[in-house]
Amino acid sequence: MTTHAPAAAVDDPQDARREAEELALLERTWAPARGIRGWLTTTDHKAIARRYVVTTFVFFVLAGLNAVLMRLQLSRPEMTLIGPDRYNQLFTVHGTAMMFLFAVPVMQAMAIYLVPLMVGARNISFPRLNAFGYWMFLIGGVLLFTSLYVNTGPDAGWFSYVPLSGPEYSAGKRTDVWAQTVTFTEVAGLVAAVELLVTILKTRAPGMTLARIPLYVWSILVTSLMIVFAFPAVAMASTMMLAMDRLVATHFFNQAEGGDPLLWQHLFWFFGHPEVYIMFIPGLGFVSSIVETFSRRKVFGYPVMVASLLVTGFVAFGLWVHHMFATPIPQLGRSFFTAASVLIAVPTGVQIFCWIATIWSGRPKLTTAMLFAIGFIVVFTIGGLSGVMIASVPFDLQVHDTFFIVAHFHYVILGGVVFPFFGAVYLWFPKITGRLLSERLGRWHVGLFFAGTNVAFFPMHLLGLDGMPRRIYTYLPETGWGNLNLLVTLGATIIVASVAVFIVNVLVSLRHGVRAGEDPWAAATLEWATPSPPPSYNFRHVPVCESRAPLWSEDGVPAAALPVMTGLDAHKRQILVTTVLDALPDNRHKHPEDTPWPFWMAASLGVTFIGAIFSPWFYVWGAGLATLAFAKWAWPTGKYAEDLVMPKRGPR
Amino acid sequence: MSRPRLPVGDVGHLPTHAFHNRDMMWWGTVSFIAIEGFTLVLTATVYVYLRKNFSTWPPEGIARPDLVAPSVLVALMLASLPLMRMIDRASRAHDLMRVRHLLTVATVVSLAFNLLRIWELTQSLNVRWDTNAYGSAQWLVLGAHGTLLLMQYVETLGMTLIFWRGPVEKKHFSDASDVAGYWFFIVLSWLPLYLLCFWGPRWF
Amino acid sequence: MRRRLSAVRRQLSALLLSLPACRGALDQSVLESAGPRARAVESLWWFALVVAAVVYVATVGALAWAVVGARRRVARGELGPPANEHRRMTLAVAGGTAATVAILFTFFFYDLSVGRTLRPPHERAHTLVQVTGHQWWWEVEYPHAVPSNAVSDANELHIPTGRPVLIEVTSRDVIHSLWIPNLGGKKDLIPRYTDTIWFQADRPGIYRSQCAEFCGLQHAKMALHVVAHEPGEYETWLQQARMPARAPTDTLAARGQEIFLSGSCALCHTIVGTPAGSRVGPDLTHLASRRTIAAGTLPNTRGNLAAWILDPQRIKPGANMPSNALSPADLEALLAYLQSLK
Repeated sequence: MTTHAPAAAVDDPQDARREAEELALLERTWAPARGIRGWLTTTDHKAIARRYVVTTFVFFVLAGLNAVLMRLQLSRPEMTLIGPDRYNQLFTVHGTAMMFLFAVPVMQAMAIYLVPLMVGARNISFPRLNAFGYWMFLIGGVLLFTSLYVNTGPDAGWFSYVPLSGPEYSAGKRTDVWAQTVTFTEVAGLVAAVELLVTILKTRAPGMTLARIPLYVWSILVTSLMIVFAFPAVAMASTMMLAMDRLVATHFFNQAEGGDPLLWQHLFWFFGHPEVYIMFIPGLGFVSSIVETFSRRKVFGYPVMVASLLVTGFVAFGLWVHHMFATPIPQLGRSFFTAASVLIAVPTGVQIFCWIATIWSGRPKLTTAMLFAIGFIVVFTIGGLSGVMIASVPFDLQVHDTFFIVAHFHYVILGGVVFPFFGAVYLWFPKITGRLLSERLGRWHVGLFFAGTNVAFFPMHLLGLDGMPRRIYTYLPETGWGNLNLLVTLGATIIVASVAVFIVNVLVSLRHGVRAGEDPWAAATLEWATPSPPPSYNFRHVPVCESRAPLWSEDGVPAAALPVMTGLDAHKRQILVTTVLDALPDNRHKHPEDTPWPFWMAASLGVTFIGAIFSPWFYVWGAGLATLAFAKWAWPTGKYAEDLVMPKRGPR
Repeated sequence: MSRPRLPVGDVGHLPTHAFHNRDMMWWGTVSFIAIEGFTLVLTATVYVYLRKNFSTWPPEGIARPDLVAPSVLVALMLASLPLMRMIDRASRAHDLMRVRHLLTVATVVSLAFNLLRIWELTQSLNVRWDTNAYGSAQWLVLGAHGTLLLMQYVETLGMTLIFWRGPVEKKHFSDASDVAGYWFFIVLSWLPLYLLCFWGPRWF
Repeated sequence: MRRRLSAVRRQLSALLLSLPACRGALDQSVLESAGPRARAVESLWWFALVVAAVVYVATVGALAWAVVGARRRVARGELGPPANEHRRMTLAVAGGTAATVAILFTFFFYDLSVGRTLRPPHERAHTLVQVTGHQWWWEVEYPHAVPSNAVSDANELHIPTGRPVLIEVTSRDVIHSLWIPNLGGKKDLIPRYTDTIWFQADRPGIYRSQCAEFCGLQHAKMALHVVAHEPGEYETWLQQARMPARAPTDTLAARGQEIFLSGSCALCHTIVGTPAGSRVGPDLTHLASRRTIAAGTLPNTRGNLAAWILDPQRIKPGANMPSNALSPADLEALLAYLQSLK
């Protein structure tokens, strides 16, 4: 490594002009097109991630509105606001949307924005695949909600058990819509996982060894690996099996011809249990970033923090049968799943202890982001404790499929996913938009959200213990569940208020928020070493990472200068590829130009899978369309002569 | 608050394409192999799970699958592996003509794989997907792997066309090497599934 | 100070008094055990709740202490970390982890021992009942070696107290789930799978339960009443249940029987002792001695029965029973007959 004089000196006007020319060239090379064309062709991870986050949030609000209607219907006994058919669609779409269209995708979308910046890369590893993934996701979400609004929404629950969801007991196309929504979202999730995985493994800043990877990036690495092994199970079960039973009369779940409804449950929960950790582990990553930034010290216990993430991700695959304790499976096996379900509390507990230690020995600043991180610990722990309780087979056989379970999973999801997500928004909004969110409105947001979560979901524990099953559209007055249900509904309205405050905060701050510089929080990681918002090329030069907190010289103290490596081409899109373990610079990879073909590929698959709801022949025609679109996507342009081995040949 | 930048090195001398695990695309291919490979494992699990719902396998009234076409396919697959090694070597040697000709052969072989798979499904299995769960399971395993065969054909054909028509970039040598590597996955993943689907009904 | 204490006391008693307002019907509650299974689980629950509360208070307390402590330290002007921070933090995290593991192990072993007590009892004197789930009612059968002594009932499960009752469960259509909170335990009813579950009631009473696996449009209105009798009373009930239906004693009821047998009723319902023998819908042989109709949806009164027969869709939209257009006179007669079926 050669050392040069600091590059920032602007004494020589010729240097300054050259620098300005280089910056302009970089901007021209990387910037997306303007207008609608830009929308359809951009491969900039930041542009795609921004719209991805906003889209998932729209689905969050729509699914939340479903919940409001459900809560109004349940607020008093024998309400006649919503009938059973509509109610079944509402709760099915609520669960399906929250799980498939919000909780996982929003975490992936945030990672798509943050990870390349945090590892010092110019873009995500596979930019066209990234664009394709977003469009697939969007199509899936539009499919689901459109079907609900035209009264063809799926109505067999978000886990769609057979035989209820099979051809015999679910007539019409509702369950087929569900199966294909899953197809779109699982494809989107898998491609995001692949591109994040490769970004983290191969495009890290020089010097960012495994031991210097930020905890948030570790969380995304673990999550992406989990997705690779979990998502195929549900994609196969829904697209290749359930949809086929309904469309072309296969017999995977038809008992009359040797099929088996328990097979569905095994396959679904083999995905479904890791799924909740896939949602939750990025949240753990967010909390580490927030706690580190606002305690002004590195998170304590880095090796055990990383180990905890790995252990959690691994053990999560061995829990799924705890969703099936009431089914006719062998008694002996259940104890294993109880043990694993109890054991998985340990690594998360370790993380919480390490965060508490970090705060204790740091200089905590109670910004809104920090309050959300604290809120995570306070809320999630309740869900974690109830989770250990229901790991017990005898106890689970009392509260399974009751509102106790509904309470448990909302505590862990709101506590473990939504609290960290909101905190992350307050932390990174200045980087993404160049302005700070209002701390005053932020306090209202966190306060109302905390209150609403507890008022809405704590009473549900008692409702479940007092016999209220889940997924019922009404209940008799004699049950006495009316008062608590009314309280729950009140809690739901408080949550709505808090989300409204958040939306107002975002809209107001976008226009009038305090302008943020490059690094308003004096934070530790590389994304803060570039302007806010970052230019299209992310970094002028490749940043070099010399510690776990590259922007601090010691805990909480910003470093004087940022070491960088020069040499990437500015006239074409190029990123630095480094080695997996030690992040030594290895080669330079050319990135593609902007292109509309990922969009057209997604559109052709949209036609394929949506058509397949109605006829299997769409798979044939659709495969043809998709092949053509992919050919246009992948065909080289030969734009840069220095890369060519053989130019394009004319007709022979 | 923009801190000054301190250049400590230059990467301008680094190569602009690389092979195997030095190349980013290779890692993408490996990730997809993991996803698709695990999906195949799951299809095999479905097959084995459903066995318990039948007293005989195949169920009464259904003939055991024929072995001729499936065995020809396996033999052809194994025979194609040296071809893939040749493509890999030629790619790393940046030998444009050799890669072009070998890929052409590979395209024809891949087409043969797909035709044989269609034969297996429609003729060798002796059961339809909608006859019973046994038939559905057989079609699931062969069909899932068959989808990969189809994608492999499209990929190989596309790569071959690029090497004939151009423009050919340096990185395409790396991509051709990845095609060869993916081919290994397609073949090796099929071997245990072949045993499961065509010999399984004879053994259990 | 004294004023503050008494204010706190008043608030606490208000809270405790309001708790009953928060409790649901006690005849459907996990926290009101009426049998050994439920009691074992309830004690596990209280143990877990106390432990969880302690752990929660300790964790949140530690968090609060960390925040407050650190801010105080900074306010005092000490910008560096606390003394011996690394050693103290390592001890704290290690200690917390060890405590977590110890608590979880304790819970796990207690859970295993509770699980052991819930194994099916080996005494010979089981009462065997068969429960089959349907969309959206419960078929309850009491088999007997002598076919004429077998009983088929619906939506009520009668059991003797003081003895384990073994129930064989399955479903006729989709997955349902049998769950009796007061007696403890849950089992999924899966078509073509037969499984067993046992319950025991220690005291007489009526315990309510609802289907615990989403089964379609009327999952919400699929309740089962479990009636626990003293053993002597149970025998009496069983003898009564084994009798065929009472013959109509007056002309109105006789007319009602005629309407039943010649109309669409007999296409789905059985009344033992008459030609009506279909198993599609619930057995109505002793309909009049049931407490509720439509799987616990309505009390079994004349008015409710009339409303149900005329238009089941209004009460349980999606139910498999069609509407029945009957003239007022015919309805009158049918009701007279049905209400005589004690």
